[in-house]
Amino acid sequence: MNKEMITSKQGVYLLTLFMIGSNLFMGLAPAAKSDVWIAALVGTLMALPIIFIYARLLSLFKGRDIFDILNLVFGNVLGKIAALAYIWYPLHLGAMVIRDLGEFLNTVAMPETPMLLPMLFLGFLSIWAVMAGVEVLGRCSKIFFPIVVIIMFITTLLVIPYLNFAHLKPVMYDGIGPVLNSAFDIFSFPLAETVLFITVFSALKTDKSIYRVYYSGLFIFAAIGVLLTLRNILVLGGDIVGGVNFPLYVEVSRINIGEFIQRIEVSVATTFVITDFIKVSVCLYVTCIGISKLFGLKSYRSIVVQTGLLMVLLAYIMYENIMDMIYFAFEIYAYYALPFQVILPVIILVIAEIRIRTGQLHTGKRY
Amino acid sequence: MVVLVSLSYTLIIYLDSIPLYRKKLWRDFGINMALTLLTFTIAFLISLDVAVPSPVYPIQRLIITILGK
Repeated sequence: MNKEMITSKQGVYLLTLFMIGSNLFMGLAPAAKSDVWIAALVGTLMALPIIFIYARLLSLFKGRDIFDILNLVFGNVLGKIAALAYIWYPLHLGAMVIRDLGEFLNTVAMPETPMLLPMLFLGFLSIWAVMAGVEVLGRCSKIFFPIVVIIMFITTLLVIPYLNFAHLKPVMYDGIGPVLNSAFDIFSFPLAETVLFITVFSALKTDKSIYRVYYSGLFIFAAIGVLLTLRNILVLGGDIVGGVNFPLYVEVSRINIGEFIQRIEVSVATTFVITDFIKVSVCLYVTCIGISKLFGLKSYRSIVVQTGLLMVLLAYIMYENIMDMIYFAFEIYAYYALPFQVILPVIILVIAEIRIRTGQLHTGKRY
Repeated sequence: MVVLVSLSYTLIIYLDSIPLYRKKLWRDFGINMALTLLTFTIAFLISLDVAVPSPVYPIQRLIITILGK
């Protein structure tokens, strides 16, 4: 059993930073243009039942991660086959997030620097954090969360002179279709990605309900997400938000107050790096736990370095250019992630509930 | 580039894999070496400027086929 512990507060911060990840900087589902903020609200509503499923799984199997749960529910052979899915998914997700940072720095901030370099450094940092354990990740998130919130708050104050409420109109000009489509995108990228926290929260030390931790994280993210998306639209307008790759960065770069406070977009880049680091570390942690449970290793730390390097190299060879990345992230990813985020957890929960109620499975103490 | 990759991997194996061998954690050592071999192959090919096939494009094609887009 995992002896490392994180508190419920650290859990909430970790969850929120993970969800902010790279998504807010790439713009939450830009297809809905000026209606993205409605899509963010609808996406949060769509995520409520699936988050309930994740929390229910955690509350049924206290102190166990997704790989233990798969083993208990499906048995040894089928459980290990299903575990492969939950090893591949965080590995791929982590690589996608690393690549987001690489593309961001390569296209916007440091075009002359080879893309591999910042990706490698982010990879090393995550390897270091995961080697130190999930406790360190929890403490990191406790320090980073206020920094991210303060930067968001200050930039929000500074963009007030640039807000143009006419950008919100017309509301739902193209009907409800694009809004629902975008809501589905937001649901899968980032909200339902919290399926990985079934593994992280096995280390959660709390007397409070696990539901409360999960839902607090979701609502804090929803508040930040809706606020920032609304801000993007009010400053840039729906068409530009849908057209640029990193709308938040473009938006903040417009701030120029009294020819003195300007070029502060680097503050947004800082939050991008911070949240990316947390997200990659969580993905790496889950992948390493998965591999170590699959092969019955003594400690997941034996393979952190190699898995981290694999993640960085996968990120490097993944796409040929940024357009491929945007296409995969916004057109393909939602459908690709559906089995990992919705179908498998629902199947696991249904079988677990049936087996527990018929007395075939004993799960021990519950939350 | 090739020399750099080889040197870094020598260092990684010395710092990361050899201690597992010394502690006689055979299973951990085996998986570690398998992963090292995999990442070294990819890194080596990248350093030689060989286009390593990405796993994303087959996934993309599969999903497009399933969805019929």
